[in-house]
Amino acid sequence: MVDAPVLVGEHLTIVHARRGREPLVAVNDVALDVGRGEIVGIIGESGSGKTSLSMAVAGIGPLTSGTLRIAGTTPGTIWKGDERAAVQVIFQDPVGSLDPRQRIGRGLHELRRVHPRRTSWITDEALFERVGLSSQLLQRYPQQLSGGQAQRIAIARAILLRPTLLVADEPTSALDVRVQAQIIVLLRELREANDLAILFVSHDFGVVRALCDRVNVMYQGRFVETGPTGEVFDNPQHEYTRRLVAAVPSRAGIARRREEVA
Amino acid sequence: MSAIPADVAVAGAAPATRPVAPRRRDRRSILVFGIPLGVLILVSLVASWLPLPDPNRQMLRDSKLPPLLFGGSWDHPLGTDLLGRDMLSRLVHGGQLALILGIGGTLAGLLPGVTLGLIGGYRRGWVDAAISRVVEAQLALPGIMLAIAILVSSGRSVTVIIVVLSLLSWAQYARIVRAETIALRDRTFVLALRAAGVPTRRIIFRHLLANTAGSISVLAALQVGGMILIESSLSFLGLGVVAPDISWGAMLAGGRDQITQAWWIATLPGVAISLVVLLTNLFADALRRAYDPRQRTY
Amino acid sequence: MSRAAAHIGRALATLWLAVTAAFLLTRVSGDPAVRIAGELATDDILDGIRHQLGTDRPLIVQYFDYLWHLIRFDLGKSLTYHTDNLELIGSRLPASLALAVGAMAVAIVVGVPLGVISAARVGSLIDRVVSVISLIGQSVPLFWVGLMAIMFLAVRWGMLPAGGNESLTAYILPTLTLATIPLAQITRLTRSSMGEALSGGFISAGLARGLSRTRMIWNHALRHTALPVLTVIALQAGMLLSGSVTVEVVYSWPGMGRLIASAVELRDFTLVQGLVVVAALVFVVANLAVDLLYPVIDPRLRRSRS
Repeated sequence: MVDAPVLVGEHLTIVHARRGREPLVAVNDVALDVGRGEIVGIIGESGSGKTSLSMAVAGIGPLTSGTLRIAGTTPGTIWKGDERAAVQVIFQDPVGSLDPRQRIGRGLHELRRVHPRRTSWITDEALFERVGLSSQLLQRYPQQLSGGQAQRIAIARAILLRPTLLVADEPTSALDVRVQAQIIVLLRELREANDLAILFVSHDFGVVRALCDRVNVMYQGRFVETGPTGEVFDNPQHEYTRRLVAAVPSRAGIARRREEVA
Repeated sequence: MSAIPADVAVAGAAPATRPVAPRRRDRRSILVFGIPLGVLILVSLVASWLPLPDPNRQMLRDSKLPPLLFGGSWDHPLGTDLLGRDMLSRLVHGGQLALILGIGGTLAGLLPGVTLGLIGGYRRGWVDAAISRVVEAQLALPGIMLAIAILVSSGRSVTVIIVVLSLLSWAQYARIVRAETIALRDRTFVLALRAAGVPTRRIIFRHLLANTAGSISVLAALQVGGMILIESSLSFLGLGVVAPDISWGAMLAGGRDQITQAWWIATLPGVAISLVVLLTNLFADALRRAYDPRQRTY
Repeated sequence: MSRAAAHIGRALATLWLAVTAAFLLTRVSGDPAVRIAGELATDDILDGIRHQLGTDRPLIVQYFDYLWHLIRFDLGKSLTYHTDNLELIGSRLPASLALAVGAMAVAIVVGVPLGVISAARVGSLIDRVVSVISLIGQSVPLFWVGLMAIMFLAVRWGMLPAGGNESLTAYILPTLTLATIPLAQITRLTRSSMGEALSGGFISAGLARGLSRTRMIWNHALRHTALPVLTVIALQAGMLLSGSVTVEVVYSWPGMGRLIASAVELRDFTLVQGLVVVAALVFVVANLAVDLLYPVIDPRLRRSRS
């Protein structure tokens, strides 16, 4: 499955200039790759640079230096047309990622106008079925949706454009546990059905473990450890990874503490 | 300059966090003030077809007749002016002009102001810097003085007056819209639209515009009142429309010398101006309370 | 220090733009010579006037000539009075400033306490009355208010003089009239920002510490409103200049406002232009002063963050 790389990033560096202070190095010489149909995770705490990195990879955030190749081509400064459609994003605030003044259905219609050929493969109703939603929601405004529904719609909007890579920036962090599980299941299905590659950014161990094939551990702008998810979490090599793993309450640990308190 | 309440001008910078549906009480207030306003607009539009005497017909023997409750007759319920012209008719026709200029001036300022505010706020960089400098310069020029300067050198006509009014108002739209746009452009949904490849033009003129429409409407409603006040000041100074067009400000100026013998000539137009502007301000206030929860003063 | 320099730089840029706008708008929109002499004047007369005004030269030349004179504080000569515009305007400026300062003082001294009281007693009778009055205050044309005041107080009841500036009592009516709008605005603004301050947590915190409610209101919350009020003052500076035109006309107050009104009647367009420039200058300076004062008042801004 890891034969055709969908994303290859080398020496990715992102520096944010700040007025009156020293510039902030958010991402420092990072190498990242995602293969076709792979789900790769980036795990780290807030401030690690993972969001800056994911925004740059998606083409909506600045990239100070380094090379980025998406499905073999290097996008220019402004991503257009098919390049643009090839990488789609879903965000942490699902309701906030939709225009509050636009009905869902009109939003989809707009996307179809921007990419007429690329979006002709499926109807709105069938699209909603794929993500497990009723097409009644097409008439609604974002504020009338739950977090889970909004995130499914965001995913629907993303896959409508038939991307090769989906960048997911903390997509489950604002959702409750049950809904989180549903979204994870949906993403897995999409990977199976369409060979969709996913770059999954999160700080949540459980979710990353459940979903990702490989994981990169990010700390202060660098990848300190990288490898298949199971190996990295069960056998952490780097000091920071060990600390992260140790801080996660495990099922066994929770059971033990319950006994102690009882 | 327009009488825009300062708390909108100052605090209008940050947008509401999430759009809120108007509360029922506020929706009612909008109707309470909006309907009379609508009626006024309608009446003034059909003024020419109403059964009123010709506002410009001079009857010198009927000069300075008092209004109904002060010794007058039903022939001229609000009395007559120095030249015997019917006050009621003149007030209604003056109202027509006031609303045309008030609304026209507002719209004429809204279009360039909102456009520049959106573009400057979204694009930032040198475009924004240039637009902001022009906005500040415009706001630095004292409104009436500027209006006077222009009207003195280019003559008086409805067109020139509307141009002048638009010059006086566009900068306020630009400032508020720009501030809101700057806050909006970093919102997640804008990022999502960019990621989806939606062209900038559409992001600005469909999405950002729709999300600033609330503030724009409030400002526009306030501006109408302000424009009417400015226009009446200009006519009072002799810079308004030319006869046979009728303006409340000019009526007031004409009545100034008669203040002791025929007080109604100067008083009634002033009452008319105050009532209409008060109504538009109340309407604007109701709009603001409904659509901008941050501005609720309670 | 560099922040102050940035503010000054922006003020200068704004002033330059304003001055240029004043130049363009009085010239590009029609021929002033025709305005002055009338439609029926012969070409000879028109040419003579154009030459006198200097409008027969190319626009660029006129512009640089205008700027050159401005930098040396030369605003040209009045067409009617044949004296230096700067002198003319300068002689009227103190009267207008007196009016503006008086009006602003009234607006602050009356408006702030009213706003505070309204905010402290939200929903009460006082609050509603004040709200209504301030709404009305922003809806009435100033010249009409002045006229009504003259009609009742001066003519009918003979309490105060109707015009001129001979006596101190003559100062009262124009000042109060001009104060109407800033008073209304300051009341509203104080009320809303006090409302925000009062609904915040520190009032309860202060009460818990045993401070009296009145003292909390007047000391702490008041400081919170200083900034917005200061902003309003800057915004009002321009408005006062504009409002003063009609008020001065109504009360025959010998200030800049009345000067521009008569300049209009006399078609003295160099004088009109000069007045606009001076007014813009006053406004820019007032705003600059407020910008420079902000960090002094708000210690948060003193530490220069990004």
